[in-house]
Amino acid sequence: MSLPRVTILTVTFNAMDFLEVFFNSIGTSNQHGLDVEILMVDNGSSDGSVNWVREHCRQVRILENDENNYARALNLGIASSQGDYVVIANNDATVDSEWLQGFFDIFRTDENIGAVQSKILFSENKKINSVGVEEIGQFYFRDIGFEGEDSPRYANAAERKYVTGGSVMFRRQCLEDVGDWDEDFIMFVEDMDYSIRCRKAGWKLWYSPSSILFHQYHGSSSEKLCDFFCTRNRFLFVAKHFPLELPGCIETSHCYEAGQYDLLYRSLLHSMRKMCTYHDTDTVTMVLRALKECLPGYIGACSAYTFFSQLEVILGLRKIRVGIYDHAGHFAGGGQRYVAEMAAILQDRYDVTYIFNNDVQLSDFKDWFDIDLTPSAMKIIKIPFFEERGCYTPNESMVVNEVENPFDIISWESLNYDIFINANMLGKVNPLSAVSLFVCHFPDQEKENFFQVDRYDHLIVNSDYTGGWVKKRWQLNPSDKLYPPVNMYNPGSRSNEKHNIILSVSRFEVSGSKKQIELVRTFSEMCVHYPVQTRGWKLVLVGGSTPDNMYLESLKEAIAEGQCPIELVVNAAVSEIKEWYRVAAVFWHACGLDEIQPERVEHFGMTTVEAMQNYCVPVVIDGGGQKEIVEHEYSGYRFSSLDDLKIYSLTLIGDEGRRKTMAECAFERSHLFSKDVFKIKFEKLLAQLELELSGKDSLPGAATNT
Amino acid sequence: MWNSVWVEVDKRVANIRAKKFSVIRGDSFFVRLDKRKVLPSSYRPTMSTIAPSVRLRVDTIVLARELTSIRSTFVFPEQSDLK
Repeated sequence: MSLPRVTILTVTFNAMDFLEVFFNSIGTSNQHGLDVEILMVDNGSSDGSVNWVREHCRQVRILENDENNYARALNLGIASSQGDYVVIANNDATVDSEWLQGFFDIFRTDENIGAVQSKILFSENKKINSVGVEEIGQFYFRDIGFEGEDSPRYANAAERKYVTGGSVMFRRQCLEDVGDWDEDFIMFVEDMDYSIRCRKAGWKLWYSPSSILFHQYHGSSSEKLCDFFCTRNRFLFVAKHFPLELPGCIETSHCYEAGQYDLLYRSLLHSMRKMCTYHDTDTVTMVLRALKECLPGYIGACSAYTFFSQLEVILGLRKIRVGIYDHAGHFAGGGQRYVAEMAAILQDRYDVTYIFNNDVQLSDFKDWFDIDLTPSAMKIIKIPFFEERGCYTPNESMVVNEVENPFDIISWESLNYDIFINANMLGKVNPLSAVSLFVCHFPDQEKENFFQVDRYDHLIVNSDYTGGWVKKRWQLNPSDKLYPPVNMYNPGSRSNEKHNIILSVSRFEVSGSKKQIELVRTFSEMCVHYPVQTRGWKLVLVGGSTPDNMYLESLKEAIAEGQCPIELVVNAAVSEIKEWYRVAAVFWHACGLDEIQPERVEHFGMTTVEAMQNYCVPVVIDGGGQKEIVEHEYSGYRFSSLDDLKIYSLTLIGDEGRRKTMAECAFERSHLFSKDVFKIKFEKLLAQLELELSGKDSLPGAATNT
Repeated sequence: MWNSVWVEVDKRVANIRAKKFSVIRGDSFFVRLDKRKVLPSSYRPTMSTIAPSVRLRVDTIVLARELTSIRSTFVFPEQSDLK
């Protein structure tokens, strides 16, 4: 007759400190009459323990789990095990010499016994850790005998309703009847779930006093982690086995008592999804109606509303709804383009609604940026506060001493979406959607009354420069950096087919912030002092302007004074601008020169990238976002003074070889800021948003033994 | 493993069954349609919403109606609800 085969299964995560002692104790235990296999499933340790076991414990077979999920590790191990019996044991422990034999003392008594738990003692003081598990009301569990002396009252074998996974042997037939461990539990309470499933399948659970394991309690997991999972998994357990009791469990949950409403919210989402996979429509409907009555009182009406809405998404009952709010959507600016590119990606997957305060047509975006947003819907919501004051564009700095926030009307609107995107830096809108994004091109406003930016789940910045000022002004850490998408590629552009043109492309700002007059004077000085080198070269200033622009008049005067080959191109069509990029050899950008106010420095600098996409070598200010675009002396030059601008430009003018090499480098560099890269990064962010919408937890660390 | 997901076909949204081929993480994934389904040539393979990774036992149509009904009963009379 062959020996009964036993698999000892243990799950590890950075358990280096425990494994030698643990495996040694198994090696010296009484295995008489048993054919023992030892299986270790590692959950992604980084402490070298896997290699150590591989080298020093040849009898241990190792499996490596691809995620740190204890229940999943058990499933992997059990599926791979050969034993007629499988013992699951914590490894921050040592086993008594009769540990294995003690299980069989019980199994031999009754074929209907599916699992037997050991007597688990604390290794430090030999007090009881667990001799089984019992429910103490309200679906809270405790180890029987916990922290008591190991007295005669624990000397007898007994049937249990629940057994802990710390040291328990299962009959193979029981494991096959009951099926996989529930991986949604990840860790903690998964053994309570398994216990109840065993009993439902007709198997008995017992405690054996003659099988002893000495355990370091919480040897490898934190209290924080334990609290998190025990709280969360209690709801899962109830949803799965006692669904109608779920609403009543909220008030007695630790997370509710501790004011951890986010954990409560997510736990309930998980639980309802779980319930929908285990129970029928009538049961789920009853629970939903009960939650409708009590949930607003626990977490607030808005969160309760969002809960039911998010549940629709999680259960796959409808498409995800996205709301994009742009209070300045009637401008054809870079910020609008940035978000329109996002919207174009979003509308392929979700129901997208653009929210404006003014009369805008989505077809305008086609005219402005060649972006078709017609699959998206649109809403115009007027804000009475600004309407009464005759302000066409809402200006949040006007809201200073008001008792009520005029932007609350937009906040209420955000409740209608699963994802709400505040597209244009309006910091007084409180997002009420399940997931929210705040897109910041620069933190123009200081933190002031009704500041809501810290309420968003994601704060996206367009450059490190902007991100730095977000930290400084708002004391907030941006969650994501997404460079603006730039797409000015021209198949006709070549690094070796350039004309002697220095190009500048910037709006002719009335304030003069783009510094075109300084560029004109610099070029004039170059022509005067270096007539031979600059012969045949001209400066071309391209940009948009409003009518009656005083700065433009001053610029014209400066050009006239210089009497140099300088051409001014105002409000050119895109096709004409493209042609200038194609032929120009050098690109100048000076916005931010000698500026003290950070908002007057270029936050990113899209035109510089446009030039680089056309083999136009950039010579740009060493400040703002330009520092992130141009690698000094490799893909262009960055100057700190107008004298430097002259020197670098003359170097390029006088060295065609260097100019071509730099143009090629600039072209390569420009791909980093291309529309394709933007799309890839944004889609990665969307994957994260979907994960958040699915209610996935962000775990406070991870471990295995408990 | 087949999952129920929303996809858009010729601007019409339909709930069909699809097979995942590229898991990003968790339950979000891009989908490839079951080729046994006959789709118009203008089919656009767009992915929309998160499908549950396990089969639901509930009647999704009834449940969707119930959730819509529950949401419609919400009233937010107090400004303090915003907090």
